[in-house]
Amino acid sequence: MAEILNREGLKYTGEVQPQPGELDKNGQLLYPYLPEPDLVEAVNLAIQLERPLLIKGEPGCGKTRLARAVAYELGLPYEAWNIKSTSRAKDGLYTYDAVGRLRDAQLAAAGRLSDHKIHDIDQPETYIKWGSLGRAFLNEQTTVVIIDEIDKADIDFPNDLLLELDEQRFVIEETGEKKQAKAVPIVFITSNDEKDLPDAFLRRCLFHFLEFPKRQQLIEIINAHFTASPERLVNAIIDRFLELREEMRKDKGESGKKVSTSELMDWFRVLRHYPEDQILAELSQKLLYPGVLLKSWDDYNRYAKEKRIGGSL
Amino acid sequence: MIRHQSFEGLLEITIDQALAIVEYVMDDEHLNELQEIVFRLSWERKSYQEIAQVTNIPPNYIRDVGSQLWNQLSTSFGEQVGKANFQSVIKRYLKRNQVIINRNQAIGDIPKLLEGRQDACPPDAFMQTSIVDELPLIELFTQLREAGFPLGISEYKLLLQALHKGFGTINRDSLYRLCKTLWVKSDEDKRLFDYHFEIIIKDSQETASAIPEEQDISQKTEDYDTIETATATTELTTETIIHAPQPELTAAIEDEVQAAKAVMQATNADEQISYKNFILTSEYFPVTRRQMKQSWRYLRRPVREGPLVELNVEATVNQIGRQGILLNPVMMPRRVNQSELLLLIDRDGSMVPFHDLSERLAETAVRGGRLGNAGIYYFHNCPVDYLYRDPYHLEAAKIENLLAKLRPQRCAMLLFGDAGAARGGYSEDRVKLTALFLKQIKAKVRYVAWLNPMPMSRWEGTTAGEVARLVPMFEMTRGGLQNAIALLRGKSQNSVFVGSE
Repeated sequence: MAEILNREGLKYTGEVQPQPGELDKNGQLLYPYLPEPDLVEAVNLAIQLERPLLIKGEPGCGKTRLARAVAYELGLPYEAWNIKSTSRAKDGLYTYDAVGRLRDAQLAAAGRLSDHKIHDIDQPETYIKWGSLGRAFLNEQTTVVIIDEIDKADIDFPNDLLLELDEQRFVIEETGEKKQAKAVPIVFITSNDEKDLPDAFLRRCLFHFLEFPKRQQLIEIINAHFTASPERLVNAIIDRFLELREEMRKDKGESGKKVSTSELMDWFRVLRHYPEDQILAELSQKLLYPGVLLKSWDDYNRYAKEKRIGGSL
Repeated sequence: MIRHQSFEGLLEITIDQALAIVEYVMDDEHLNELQEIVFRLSWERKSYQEIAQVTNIPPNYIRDVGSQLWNQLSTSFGEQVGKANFQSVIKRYLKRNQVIINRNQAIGDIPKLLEGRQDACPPDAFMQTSIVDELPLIELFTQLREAGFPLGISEYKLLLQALHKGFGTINRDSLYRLCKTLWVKSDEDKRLFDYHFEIIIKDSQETASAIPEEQDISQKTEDYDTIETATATTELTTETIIHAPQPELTAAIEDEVQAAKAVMQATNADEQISYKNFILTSEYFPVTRRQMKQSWRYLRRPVREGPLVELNVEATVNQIGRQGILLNPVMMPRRVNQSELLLLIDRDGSMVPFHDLSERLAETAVRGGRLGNAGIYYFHNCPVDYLYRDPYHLEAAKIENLLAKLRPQRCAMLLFGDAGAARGGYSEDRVKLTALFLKQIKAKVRYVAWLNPMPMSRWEGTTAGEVARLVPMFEMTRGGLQNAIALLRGKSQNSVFVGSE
């Protein structure tokens, strides 16, 4: 009952932002995150219905950052599980050090272990190393978990997680121990859509597609990250950025790789070190520091040079 | 359709629930003891004779009680109720007016209510658990299910739960966002969803005028009629798009698009509005995209391969047994999915009508991650010397070179083409060339299957009939695709490929 009440108090607003330079427990710099109202709604829906929220969207538009922002605002612990192509569903829960146990058993037989260590051998959890999801399940407090880029794993991976996400429990095969989540974690899942996810998995998730921010939002995002930036400079840079993005969209269509919010941020970080007048003057001539924005040889040739030709004419 | 049935199947109710519903419908007039006995035993499909035997009451009397009961129920339910149909009447009522299903505990409360008869309080549990006295948005839900969304009863429950918690109740927009978050899982789904939401929610607005801020329809009265007709016609068009199972392969999507365009031009001048009213679905009906996706998932062959990363507990223990001490653990490679698929697609000529289908097949195979490093190649009529990397036959690859790159024992090959069945006729040459090609690849490819978009009845007497003797050929239906994939995994009985001699 306490749990339910607890959860009812959890409401994400997207308005609480960290102070510039604020660090989290691991010494990572925290950044502001400005979500759209419907994203906020989707997050709250996921929290209340205790379902994972699947987030898709262009690379670099803030899919991964969301979970941390939610954890920050609600003051909850945060666990990240970054999926690799070799990840297995079990890895997120626990790994069992069978070799370590074998070694200790041998040492114990040879009488070379302290009493304290021998006592440990019989403890079922001595050789278990918890994964992110496992830790979240065992935490008394509701935890925010992000399963990042789930589409990188084998196609069977999501299906192997169904039981854990559905019933919030798992079994440690090696000891036969059953673990039930103490508090249902808030789970975010991101996907870059490289592979289709199985229907059975999709059915259990809520889904939100993260749109690319509008101009006004971009300005707000820049202002939140870089306080006291001159307005003219922000406008000029964003205009140039959107122009480039629009060009790319025309050339490559909706699905091609386009410049993203995170690249805009990098670009701005570079540009603001230079005098405002110089930037404003040169920006209309050419794309400054194109290497920050354009990541393929094709793009570099086409967009960085085109403007230069246009400028010289 | 199968999904739909399973949904109905969930409407199984117990006798206590049925009784609760009956009393609810009868404005809480309780059945008397004898009526209840008759009701209960009839529910178990006992005849009046049997009921009489069980209760030791003369059959005539039981019959009277029964007919009186059915009369009463007929008035309450507003339709003819009898011993034969009362179960289905109750179930239908249940489906129409949401009373339970979503809340089992509510029903759990009802028998208790019944036991304490003297307090004639209305069954509040019904009212509390159902947001309104009917299933909210059930129409949208069923429409989406019929459109192929993977939604089940628990997804519907989720909506009720969310509504209950106050989500999506502010206005039409927030309701839209709620349903979208809960039920839509991809961009494609979203288009279908938008379409259905638009129609259904507009409908309810017209009848109930519950949501006042919706558009300015009333102002444009002259346009109003046109919109009406447009909606009506589209409904017809989509009926055909969504419901009709379309047995004939020849009814291609393009036709529907054209029909839609024609209607669009005929009914309305205002493009903005009419555009919204049409949905151009690219689904091909013998096998939908979702079904292809599901079928590809079966094509897998787990193999241990790669770096030694996993502990082989058994081997380690064995080694300790032999050596008497743990020197080093025995490791083994991780189990990975190793299925390589070579997908060959016939293009152009008689295959033009099936281009949409073959593109979808290729796309789902790629996105299902099933190709390994084998890939998709194209040919025309039958592969001779060269295969093409692109559908337009521009980038050629020599078959020999291609085969050299394949890893035998792992690669399976699926051909997609009509093998001459579309035009009919028999060509000795074509059969020979196909046989030659099959012989050529035999050494490198373990399993071969052929998918034919033409129905099996059209193969006989054509080149396809002859080719089907050389290689296992399947129709392009869901079952056919599944069988072909089972064969490619080596699971089918006739999996041993018999090439021509």
